Amino acid sequence: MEEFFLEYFIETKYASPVRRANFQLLVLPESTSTQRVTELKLQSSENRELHRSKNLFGFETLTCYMGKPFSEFWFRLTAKIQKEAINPFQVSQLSPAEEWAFLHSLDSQIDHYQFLQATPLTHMPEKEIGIFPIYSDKIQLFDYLTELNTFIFRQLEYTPESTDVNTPIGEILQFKRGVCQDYAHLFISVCRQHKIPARYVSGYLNQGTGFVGTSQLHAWVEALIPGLGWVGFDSTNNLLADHHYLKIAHGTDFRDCSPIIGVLESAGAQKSTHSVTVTNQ
Amino acid sequence: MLSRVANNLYWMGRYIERADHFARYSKVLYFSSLDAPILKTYDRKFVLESILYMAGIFDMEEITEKEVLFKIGLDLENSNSILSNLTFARENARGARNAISTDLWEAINKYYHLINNYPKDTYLSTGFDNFTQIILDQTSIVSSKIYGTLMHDGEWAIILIGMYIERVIQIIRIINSKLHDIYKIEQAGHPVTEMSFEWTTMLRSLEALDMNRKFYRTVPDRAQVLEFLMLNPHCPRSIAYSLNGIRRYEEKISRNESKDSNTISFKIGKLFEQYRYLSFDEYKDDIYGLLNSTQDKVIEIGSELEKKYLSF
Amino acid sequence: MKQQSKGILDSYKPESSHYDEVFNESLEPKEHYQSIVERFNQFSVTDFERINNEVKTAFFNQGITFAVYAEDKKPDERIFPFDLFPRIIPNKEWMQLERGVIQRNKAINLFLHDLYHKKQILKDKVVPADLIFSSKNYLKEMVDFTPEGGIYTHISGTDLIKHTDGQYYILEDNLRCPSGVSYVLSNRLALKKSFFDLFTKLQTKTIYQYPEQLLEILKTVKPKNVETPTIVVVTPGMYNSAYFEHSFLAQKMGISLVEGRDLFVDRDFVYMKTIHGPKRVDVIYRRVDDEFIDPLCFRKDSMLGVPGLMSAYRAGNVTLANAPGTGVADDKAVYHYVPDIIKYYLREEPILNNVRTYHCENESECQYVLENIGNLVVKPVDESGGYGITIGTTLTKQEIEEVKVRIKSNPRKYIAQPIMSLSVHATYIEETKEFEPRHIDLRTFCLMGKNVEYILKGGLTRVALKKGNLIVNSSQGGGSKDTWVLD
Repeated sequence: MEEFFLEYFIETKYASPVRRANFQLLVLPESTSTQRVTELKLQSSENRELHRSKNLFGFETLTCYMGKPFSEFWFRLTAKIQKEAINPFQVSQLSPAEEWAFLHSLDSQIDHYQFLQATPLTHMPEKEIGIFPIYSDKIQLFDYLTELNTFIFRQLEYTPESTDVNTPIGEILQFKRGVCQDYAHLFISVCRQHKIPARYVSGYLNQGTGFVGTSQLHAWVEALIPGLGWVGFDSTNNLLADHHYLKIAHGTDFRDCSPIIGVLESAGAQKSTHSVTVTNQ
Repeated sequence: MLSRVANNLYWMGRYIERADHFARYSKVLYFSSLDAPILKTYDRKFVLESILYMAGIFDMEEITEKEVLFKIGLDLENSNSILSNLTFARENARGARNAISTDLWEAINKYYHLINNYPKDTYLSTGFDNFTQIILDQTSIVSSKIYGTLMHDGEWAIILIGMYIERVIQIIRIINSKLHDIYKIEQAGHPVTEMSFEWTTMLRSLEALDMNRKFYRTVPDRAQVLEFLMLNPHCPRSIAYSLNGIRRYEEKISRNESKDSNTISFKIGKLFEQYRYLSFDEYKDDIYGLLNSTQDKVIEIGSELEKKYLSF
Repeated sequence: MKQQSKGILDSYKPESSHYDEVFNESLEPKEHYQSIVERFNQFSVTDFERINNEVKTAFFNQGITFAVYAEDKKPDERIFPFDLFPRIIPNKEWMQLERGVIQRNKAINLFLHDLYHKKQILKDKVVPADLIFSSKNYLKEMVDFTPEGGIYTHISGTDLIKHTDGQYYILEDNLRCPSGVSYVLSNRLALKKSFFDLFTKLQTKTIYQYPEQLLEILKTVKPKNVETPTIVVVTPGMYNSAYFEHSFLAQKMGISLVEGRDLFVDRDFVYMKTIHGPKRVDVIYRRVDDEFIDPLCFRKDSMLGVPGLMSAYRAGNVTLANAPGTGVADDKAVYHYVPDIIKYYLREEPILNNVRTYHCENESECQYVLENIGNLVVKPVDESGGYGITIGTTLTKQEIEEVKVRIKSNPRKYIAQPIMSLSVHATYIEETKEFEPRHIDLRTFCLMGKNVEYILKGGLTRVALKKGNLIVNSSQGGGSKDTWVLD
């Protein structure tokens, strides 16, 4: 078991006062049997109490209604998290053909339809599909996904601020640059082409590891391996998600996992800064 | 009551009242030149200018009768025209459609269509008297529906607050316009003794001539008319009476909140009391000063009401 | 029975190629129309004109109008065209319709619940899974959520037609914000005033209960732990073409008509802004489309919605009627499967007929459509209001080719049906001052609450006023008739 200390901070300043706003934050680490939140402190501007709601996938969001004019909004989360060590390298009991058959069954396709449908952010232009490794009933799914993980890791050059949250896959592949969510979207897109359910995961990554993507919220992918369940792949670092990965939420793509969404009644410009700190002892 | 609906009701009241005062003033002035004793000064141009002055229009260079009539009556580009006012009144009623009675809504809707479909050519040639009379009659119908078909509660009070605030403002405008006319006539060298026609016109444009006659039983003069239209607590078209209306209906929605000096109730009460214990001699040398300060205060009260109850 | 003097209906010339609702082949009025034809024939044209004008003026003054906006001109206000000659449905015939409509809507509710939970009907291959998952109206926000009482379609408007064979056919299911009921009620009011004597003579089923019933239905789905719910109607605002209906229903139910901007969500509860502060709202009859109801969840640019509404909804603190995501079931491509859906969930035979539908998505059916376009009606699956519909017999050669190209480019988007011959009904035509046959359909209104249903006895008969026109939608120049169910 390992213990992590986490801080998430965001601050937005508005050029002219905002009349009214609703914010929704999706930054709380999830609580599961292997990831426990032992201490949690939430602070925000004007000492607003944040309300815990559940989003469409059942993850806890923090919501906040601002009914009076304001010119800045900030939020800080500090938490202590205990994480069980997990071995991501598990071997499926099913044969490649069985895995294949399961994924191609109608039931699987119906049960996991959300993670099999292309979304605007995970839509792969047809001409690009050919460059990726091909999945078949001859290879173990885990091995295929590991290969794909490495392939995507090599395909792109990690370049901060080279893309934004709305960059489509075609553009990512054209410039071969991106940040963690682009790696994730690409991975998801290939999986879904092969009827492998894959979901976008947002979370925190331990900064002691020296990996890429630790100074911001991180993104990786969970793919469904029949007989094993959802297994996390991080193409940005060419790794499997282990206990250094503190999950917040998953969804069909980035849009289900935006850390903060606000609907504001305001006319002016705004400027945001945010920071993430994750340490273990 | 929804704040937005309250906002609609308040403005509905204001626009209906505004159209009524515009129409009456224009009607009285338009036909007054026919009887005016000082014919040389009191020509058509003089009348049209007075109507424009009351309507707050100062940018018309060359004025023909038809242009003026169109502009104040049916011109939708003039946001102060009678048709514009009715369009706004009806849009506000529509926005508050289910807060008012079907009777009231249909009365306002019908009123709007009568004016909106009034043939322009008739209006500009021989229809002006008929056109303005429709407005006065329809206002009465609408008023009677307001009194007779709504619960006398919050919604109703908001409409009446709007109407009385507008009435104070319009009374002040009408007095100001006629004072301006009188000033012009004096400048042209006519003695003050020849002014009784002007004072009569002022009273008539507020439908207060008969009331005034009954109250004083003499020929109207300056002191008498200004005292009557500003201070008389029983003339429904005086400032004092209208302030009392604002006070009475505001109490219905403020639910007797504390009377701190910064509350709206306090400000309304203070202005009402000022008028209640005022005598003409105290302000006869500074009529404009009193009118302007009253107008400013009422406008301030209006915007505070909007901020407190009507913003959403 | 021949009339002595010349009645206003004597000059009526039926069209033999269509089912005439009023007259039989020998030009005698059908039994259930006899009293009214007799009564109408007592009017002179002048009398009838006068009544017609009175009703129009009354509608105008009541504000039952819509505005036509043109550049550089002030908006032209018009009433929705209305025909004084009511459409009559004998009670026996109606009972069959009523049972069929309720059956259909019950099945559709079970279908929606299944689609958003176990999806068993897809796994059993009764309805193709792709058809559902590719629909933009299938909302992931509704997955695994059960609306209060399990009700999705509190208000539905099923459209029917009568074909040449004298049988009713379902034209489409409207499960989102079906409108028109305010016209039904206003039409009835107008007719009661104009033909007072007829109502006293005939046993016409009443419809005035609709708003009360709607309110009751909405109360049955109030959130748990709420004693007396605050119910509101949400409208996109007064420039919406159905604003009259929104305000009418709110007025008749005695509840507030609110816009999105009057509401806000705090801590997963919905409030409206009143002059004395926030007031909690528990049930919302919303007349705003799914994609606009919550900018935090759906379209970020929506000015009509309430940020956080979906979260409050999923927390069980407010009920939305209809539930979001019902559009997946009134998709024209799903229509074809409704008889199977009825059999699947209710184990009953469908009471009402469906029109044969060809899915362009299916290759062989698409082939048939492409080869027979001249005899088919082609409809885009996701449009309403009659937009994008082409009727084969009215197309030029070039237009047929254009339709083919459109279908080939996106077969999922189109379905086709044989040209159904809508029945005709004597309708007063102002230009000719005569009654002429015009095509009609029927929109029914069905309400569903927790363990309770209500169906309006009659509905909105829509009439295509242009001669020969088959499209009855008001946006396409259609009018309406009062509809009487007679014992």
